[in-house]
Amino acid sequence: MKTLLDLCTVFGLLSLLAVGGGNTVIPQMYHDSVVQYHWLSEQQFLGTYSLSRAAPGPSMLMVTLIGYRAAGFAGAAVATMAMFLPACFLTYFAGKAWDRFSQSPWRVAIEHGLAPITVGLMLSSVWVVAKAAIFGVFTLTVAVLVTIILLRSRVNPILLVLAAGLAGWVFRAYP
Amino acid sequence: MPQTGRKISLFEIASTFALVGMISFGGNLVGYIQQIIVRKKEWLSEDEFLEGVELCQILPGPNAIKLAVYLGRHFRGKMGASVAFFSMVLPPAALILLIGAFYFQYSSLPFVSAIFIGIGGAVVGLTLASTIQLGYKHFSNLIDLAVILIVFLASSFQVPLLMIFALVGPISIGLHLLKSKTPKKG
Repeated sequence: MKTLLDLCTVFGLLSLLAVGGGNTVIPQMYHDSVVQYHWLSEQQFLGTYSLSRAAPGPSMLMVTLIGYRAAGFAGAAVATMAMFLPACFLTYFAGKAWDRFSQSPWRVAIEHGLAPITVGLMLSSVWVVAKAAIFGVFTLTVAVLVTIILLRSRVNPILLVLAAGLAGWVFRAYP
Repeated sequence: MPQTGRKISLFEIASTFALVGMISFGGNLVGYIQQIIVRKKEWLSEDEFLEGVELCQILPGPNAIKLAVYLGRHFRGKMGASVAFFSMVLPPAALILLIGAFYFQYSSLPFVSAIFIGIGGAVVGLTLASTIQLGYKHFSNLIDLAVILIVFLASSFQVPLLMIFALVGPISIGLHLLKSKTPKKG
């Protein structure tokens, strides 16, 4: 099926572009899944993003949900394997070479050089999600509060997510 | 004392990575891996672990997955890598499919929608906080700060990722290489 092929190409490519982690390609993932292929709506993208962060396991399991939405269980499997396998193979073979370069100034330079790029991409990801998630005083307040609480204390993030969900129900379901 | 010499069984790899996968609510899977494999079970030292994390940061792909493969290979080669990967991925994948199916089914209901409005706000806070924690040490370095800003803007304006890496990557790496070769002042 064409969708399976599309899923494979999209997530395979994203896997190879996601230097620094899956979070760095969220903007591209959004563009591909929502804008280009219409596999899910903007709100559903936000929903799967949130679920994958709150649920246990790697947060990139969000691609499992996108694949499921696009093409059922087959889609879920294809999307997941496409997102994970390229990275796995690269890591497997690079792991062997890594030890040999542990003292090289090149290795340090690469790590230090790529780090701020990763941060910039992650900020861009936050921006994409924020554009979908923040649309009023309530959501802005929640976001700011959660940010501050997490930066200043060791509260378990999942508690905050659950509390925010509860607050959403209380304040937003019955206007 | 790290048990770096001990041969770790495939079963131990499977059960440990499955455990890590299933308890990591709220994210930071790498942190849980560190907690259990390095601190609690002492299968490798903190330094060896950090080397692995560094490698995973510069390779493309989801971090926790790469780390599982790296560690699995470190412990038991090909089989270790495969076992670690599948043990950590399959149970949470099954769970998230279950939750996801319910979510897609009921997401248009007003109260579900309302809950996710709240969750959406929280998740923005979550990822913003973790990005700041990851990145704040770069804010004092002017070059790094410039790189962060340029990359942020480029990505937000849909500049292709490959182009960003091709243009900014060598410059950033080159500058850091130069910095390391220049003798420090004072």
